[in-house]
Amino acid sequence: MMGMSSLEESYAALKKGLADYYRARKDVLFVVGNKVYTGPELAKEIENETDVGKLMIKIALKGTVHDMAMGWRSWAYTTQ
Amino acid sequence: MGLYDTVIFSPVFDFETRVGNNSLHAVVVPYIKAPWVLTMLEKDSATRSNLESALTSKNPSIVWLDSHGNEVCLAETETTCAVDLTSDLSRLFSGRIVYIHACLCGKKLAPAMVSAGAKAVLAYTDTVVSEIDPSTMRLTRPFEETLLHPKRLYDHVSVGQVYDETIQIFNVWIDCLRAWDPSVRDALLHDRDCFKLFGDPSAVVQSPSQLVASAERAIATVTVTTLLVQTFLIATLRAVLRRK
Repeated sequence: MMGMSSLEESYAALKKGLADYYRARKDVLFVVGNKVYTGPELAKEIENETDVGKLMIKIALKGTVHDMAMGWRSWAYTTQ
Repeated sequence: MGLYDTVIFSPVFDFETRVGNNSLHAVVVPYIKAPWVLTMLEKDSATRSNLESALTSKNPSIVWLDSHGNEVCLAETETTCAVDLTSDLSRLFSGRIVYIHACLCGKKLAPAMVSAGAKAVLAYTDTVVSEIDPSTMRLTRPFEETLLHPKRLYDHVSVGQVYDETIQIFNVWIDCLRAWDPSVRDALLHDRDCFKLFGDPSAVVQSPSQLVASAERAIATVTVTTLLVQTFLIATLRAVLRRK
């Protein structure tokens, strides 16, 4: 992550954590818009930042912001 | 025909609409009891022309639309719209309460329905995200309990109350799942934030007993008013006679 701003690093970490999280969830089926995705399929969408991937990242960011606003530690998708 | 008629529109043309239809049959259809009369337009009968025909002939108070959608269109098939901005929204939806369980229809279609005279419309202003239980081919419980909660409209409660209850149920699940399943929690948070009420929050279809009570109150008001007018007229007449 050389040369990245802290915001970019946070985004990259969230994106990687989110993709890893969904890749590990082989048993789930999510409907996003007009299509159904398995966990690993969503992981690919997130890594490739397709429209669906961007939406999933946006949703995860919203959840993270919600946790911070509530004073909860946001641990969900961090990979450290 | 009319007050206690309801129409559910649920086309089945792909995997996701099949799941939506399964959940409707498991959760919503059994919930609808007398005095409601349900017209179910699903699978092959869920066509644009059948919907328009049912809306005009049955004159339903509540319309439940369940399909894919975008800002201006509720899908009939993968390539056609059952309802869109070119529909005669005034003729089809004026005076009705509508729930649109579909992506993005809250952006333009729902406000257009309200502008065309719909009493109230509940709809989503963004892409709806949900989870499927592969063993039942239905939505998982958090999503059935939230996305299908507008079934409470059939309990003769106001649209505003149904909206508030739905948000509360979203919040309960969001809190419950915070530590257990962040992906589902985040999806619920997203769906909650794009679930909107358009139109009159006080819109309600009164139950027969509520209607009787309203009528009794109206009759009582008329009776008291009539008595007061009679008393006033008699007093006036007496005063006139005394003067003579």
